[in-house]
Amino acid sequence: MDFSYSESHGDIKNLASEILGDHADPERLKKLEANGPYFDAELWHKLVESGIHSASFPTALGGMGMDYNATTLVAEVIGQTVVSIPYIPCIISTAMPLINSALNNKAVLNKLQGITSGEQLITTAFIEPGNEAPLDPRTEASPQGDSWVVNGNKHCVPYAADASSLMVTAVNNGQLWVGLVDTQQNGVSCVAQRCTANEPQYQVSLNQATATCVAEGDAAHALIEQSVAMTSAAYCAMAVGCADKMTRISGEYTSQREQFGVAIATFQAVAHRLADCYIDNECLKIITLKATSDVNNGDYSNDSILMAKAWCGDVLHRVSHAAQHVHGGMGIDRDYHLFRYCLWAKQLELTLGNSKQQIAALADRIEARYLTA
Amino acid sequence: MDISYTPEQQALKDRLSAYFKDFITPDLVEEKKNPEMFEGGGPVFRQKMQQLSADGLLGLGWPVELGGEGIGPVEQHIFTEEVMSSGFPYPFLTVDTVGPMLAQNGNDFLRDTVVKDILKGEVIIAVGYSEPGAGTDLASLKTRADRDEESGDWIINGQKIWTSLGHFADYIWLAARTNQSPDIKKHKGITMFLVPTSLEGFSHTPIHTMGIRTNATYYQDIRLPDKYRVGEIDGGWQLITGQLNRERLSIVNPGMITGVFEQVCQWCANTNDSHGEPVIKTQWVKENLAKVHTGLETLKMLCWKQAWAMQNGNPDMADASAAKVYGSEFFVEAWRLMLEVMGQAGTLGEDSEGAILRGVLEKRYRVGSTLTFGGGTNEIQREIVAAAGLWLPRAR
Repeated sequence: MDFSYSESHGDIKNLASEILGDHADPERLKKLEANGPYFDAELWHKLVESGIHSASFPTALGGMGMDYNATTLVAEVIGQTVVSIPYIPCIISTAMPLINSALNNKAVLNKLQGITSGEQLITTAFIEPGNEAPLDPRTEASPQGDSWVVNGNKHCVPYAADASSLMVTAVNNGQLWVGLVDTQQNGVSCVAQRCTANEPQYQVSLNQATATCVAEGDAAHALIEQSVAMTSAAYCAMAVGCADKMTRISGEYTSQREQFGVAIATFQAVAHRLADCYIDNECLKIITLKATSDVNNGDYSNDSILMAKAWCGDVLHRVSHAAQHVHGGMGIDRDYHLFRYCLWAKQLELTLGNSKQQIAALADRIEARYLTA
Repeated sequence: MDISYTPEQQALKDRLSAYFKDFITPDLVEEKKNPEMFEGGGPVFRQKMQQLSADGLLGLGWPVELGGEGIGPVEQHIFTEEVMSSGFPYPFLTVDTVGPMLAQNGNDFLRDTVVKDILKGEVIIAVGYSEPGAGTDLASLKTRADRDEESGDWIINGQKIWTSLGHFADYIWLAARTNQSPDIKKHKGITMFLVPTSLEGFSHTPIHTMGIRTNATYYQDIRLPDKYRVGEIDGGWQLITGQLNRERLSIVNPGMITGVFEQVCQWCANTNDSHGEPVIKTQWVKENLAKVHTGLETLKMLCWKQAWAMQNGNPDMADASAAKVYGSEFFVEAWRLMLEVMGQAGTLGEDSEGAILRGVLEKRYRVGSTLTFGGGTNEIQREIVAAAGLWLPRAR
């Protein structure tokens, strides 16, 4: 048993903190977000230059051969800085699960190499209007000659308009199908949506869109299960960074803000509310560590992933509102930096299944386990 | 990083799990029905303690030089989880907290006698901290030990309260004031003693609580030889906090829940409701179980990390307090969630017709409420978290 990170993990986290931190100045973010959701291309370019974005790709794909755990450390730093880059959708949701497919699929190999070099961006469409089950899409795929065509609608697709291609789920003959769709074609149209965290998200209509098949049937199921597990655990890691930051900001503010002639943090009610945030985040941290470790070991259906996402929603909700509350009006002022974290808190809470959905899924597993035992 | 058990640790867990499967014999169950012996103290309990010792299981994680097996805090934690999960009234205060403190800080006499006897399973120690006027503000305690300059003995006078196990303990781990000077800070004038309960002047009266029997203990002109002093004169505070740090981890051991949770899940699967369907099929029932499962897994990981940190000599103060608050409050919630699935019949006690799972949860919820204030009340833990974890300024 060893809870410590290796030196190379520490290096990745430090470097990510440095680069992202340099681009997370509230004044800079305020300018960038003035015109709505944005892709921080300047920061993404820096990340590509450093090689961090592809650190967990195999060396054969131009990466550093690090593991999934390394990506979750970067996700945590994103939660601490709330910068607007497509790291989780592009690298964790899409590229990482596609690594195995790249070995025998030239098209996939090209995409991943393009991501490493920074020339390509790829994202994943998990959900559809009225259907949030990633493994049960309504979008349809059908073969056409040597190729495939896809018809259907996806939405809340992060960075779809910035991406060169999309990983898309569909059904073909009642079977799950996964393919890649180039965005630069007539059959694909992206309409901007506005989500609460202001991440650039799009409604994507696929109308006879040409596609390349990556996996079908059981293989497609395994691929998407892996993608969902990796994404879900990574969002939990991002939540750890976000909740930690909200708690620390609140600690600093209440240590300085004086009322009745003393810092308000010296009031037990305030100190205890923040202590509860700390304790909540300790719990989220440890269960997230269990989830990311399980995913790292290739176990994509461990209960820990559901548990971590359940904690993620609950903790973000509680910490966000405690943080706003102890600040008074200052906490919600858009000239102060807390609100971005609070918006992301709600975004992460509702993304890929809320806390109650996780508990319900876990409940079904427990029922099945004990009834067959 | 590898946060799972090593193959050796997993093997130990499997071995202990098998060992404790049949450890709770009917005569122990019978003995525990006596409220005086619910937390141990009867002849069967004593015999089981000696059996644990004979099988080399007490002091598993204690350092070799202190008489243990020296395989570390993680292993000790694995043992404690398994023994607690079995339902045995394991005297963790003696074996996991006071014992190691005595082994580390006791003189040769104490090490050669009491510490050895703990490892033989022959000694039970109760903690004498709280007094009628000193609870959370422990340093204001008034029980006093005065030196008889001629013999060097200590004369002890005072009263302690909530001295759990005091009615059958062999010793009291007693905090007493040895410096009455008003000029020193009150926590600087306290010394620790180990008081044999066989000495003249020691007595106890029962306090019957909602869940367990505990005691008030009295110390009247007890003449205690200096060899029963632990650590430096006026140096007791450090020993108290050291013991409490260990206690914090022990009292939230997930073993308190794991065994019961497994039984409740099986009961829900094997019991039909009024529609003839297994209870576990009801949505809210299985969701209650899922919530306990989630909370329990989280607690397990928190405790593992604490044990690992202890193994590496750097347990974090804020994290230990955070685990204590979370664990104790989770227990209270878990008893509720599990009791709910049993319906009204869950309120039937151990001795009643129709009791479910021997009324274990009816008992647990009555006993479990002590954990949020025992071992340092959760408000104090939150103060520690605020100061040591978030660097918030302190009041006063």
